[in-house]
Amino acid sequence: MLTREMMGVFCLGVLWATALLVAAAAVQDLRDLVRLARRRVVVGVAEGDLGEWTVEQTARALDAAADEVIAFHDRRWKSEIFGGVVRDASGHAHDVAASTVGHVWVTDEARSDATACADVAAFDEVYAQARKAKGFRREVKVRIVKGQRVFLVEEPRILSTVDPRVFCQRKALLVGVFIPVELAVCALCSWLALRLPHFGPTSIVGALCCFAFFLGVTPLGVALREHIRRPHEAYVRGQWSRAAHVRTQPLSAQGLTQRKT
Amino acid sequence: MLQRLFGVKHASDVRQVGTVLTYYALLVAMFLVPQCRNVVFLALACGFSFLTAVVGHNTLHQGMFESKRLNMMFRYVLSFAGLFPISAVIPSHNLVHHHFDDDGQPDWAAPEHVRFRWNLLNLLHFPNVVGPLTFNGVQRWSKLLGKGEFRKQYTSELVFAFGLTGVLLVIDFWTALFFVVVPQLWGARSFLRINIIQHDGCDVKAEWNHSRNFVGKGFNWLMMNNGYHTIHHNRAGMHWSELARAHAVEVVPRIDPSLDERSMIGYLTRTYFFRFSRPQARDVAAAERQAAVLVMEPRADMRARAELEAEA
Repeated sequence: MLTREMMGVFCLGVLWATALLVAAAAVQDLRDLVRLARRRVVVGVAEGDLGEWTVEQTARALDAAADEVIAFHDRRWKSEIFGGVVRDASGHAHDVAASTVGHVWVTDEARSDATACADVAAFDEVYAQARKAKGFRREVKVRIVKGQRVFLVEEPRILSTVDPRVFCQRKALLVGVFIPVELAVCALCSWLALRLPHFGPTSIVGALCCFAFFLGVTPLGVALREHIRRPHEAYVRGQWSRAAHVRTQPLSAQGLTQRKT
Repeated sequence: MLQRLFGVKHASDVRQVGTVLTYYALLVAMFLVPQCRNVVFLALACGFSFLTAVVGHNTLHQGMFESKRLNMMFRYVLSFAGLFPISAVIPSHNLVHHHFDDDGQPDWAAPEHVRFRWNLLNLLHFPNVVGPLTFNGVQRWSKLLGKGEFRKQYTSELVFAFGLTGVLLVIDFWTALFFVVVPQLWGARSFLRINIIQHDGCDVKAEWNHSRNFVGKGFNWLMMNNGYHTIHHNRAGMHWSELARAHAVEVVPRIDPSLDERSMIGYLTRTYFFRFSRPQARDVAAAERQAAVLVMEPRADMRARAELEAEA
């Protein structure tokens, strides 16, 4: 006969094993970020077009929303370092070798600008294709151009317009907070479940919290992992909504004229 | 006779109905009869929960019942069994996993999603990662144009599975939690975990060496031939009862012998318990380069066909 006590211990064991595995996976990510943050970085100004980041996307129409909406799916990302020279503040020139295996990091703003919908006509054109099973394919590129402030890392080779140290420190901080908070919430749920009288009303609330934690902690862990992806392979995805876009267009661009009353 | 009684298309599908009925009988027995709340019943329920997920997988490839309505109703039975909407298998398994590709992105259940140096942790942690990835992917897919019917079915399965479990929790909280929810989650997580067992160390770009097979006869009787995984990937429309013969004819001449395992227990023990690190990847696809070529339908075409079937 399996008593409630035995099953309770078993369930708490499974809960803690899961919590610790999620925490251990986060520790792996934290370790990688800290290592990258410690790399030597050269800061300077690009003396020519140094590299390009590309995302290949498929657009498909949605019908889950009331409005006409297009969702973008990232197929793959590509980084290409053309090579050139970066001049630092002391005037020293650093050669950047051409590479297709290095990573190009660009800012979130640059990616958002590049992937944004230009106008309603562009929306309509994409939407017509996006309604088909194959969807609409596009490549969005962001180039690091002459005069931009860039950051160079040697190994792994990174050419960036984002300070890699700041990026890694911010993400590491997030992961660093997640780990103890996650374990603390697990401890709190376990404490509630173990409250006296055992298997009483408070204990039931605790068990429900443990169950909710068990179902919720793994999506949180995955969301965190996706949030800290390096900029060269971070998800862009995004959506275009016809109504939202039309609202932002000047009336003339919508083919309408303002009438005085 | 049983075939006609259950209304299943193939005589062998009686075994699938029997598997699900056994699982439900175990849950009912544990929920209602205190004497049944023991290690044997619980272990059997966990095992049959996994086998029920296997039945779910089979039926989402090919409806088991003659009646379409019965096939749709059976999805509710399967959804409660594993506490997840079984229709999720269509996008996650039929459309993405079978092609090892989500329109350019990795399979949601690719073994590479976990990367512990201690290999046992990869096996343990795998469902924690691929579960959410799968449900995120299913959510994205379900919002696409023309998936309204899927969304309706998916949501009603979700409501049914959690609703019925909730009712049981209200009736007798601890019994339901320990003897219903535990087997449900065990089955669902094992169903996810099987992906790393079947594909880690394989070459998913290869035509024949993308999967690990478990070819023991007893194992495959219980598992409805799901040990023959390579041929299942390549001929997804083939009924599970025909997989053993097709495996012998088509797969054996083209597969690296190391991917034809006699026993899953032996493999798990060797790979996860008697060694620390993850085995190094080998060029397993060399075996098929030396074998006679068998032209397969391109994966993109197979996916397009699977998509049409899913919509039908």
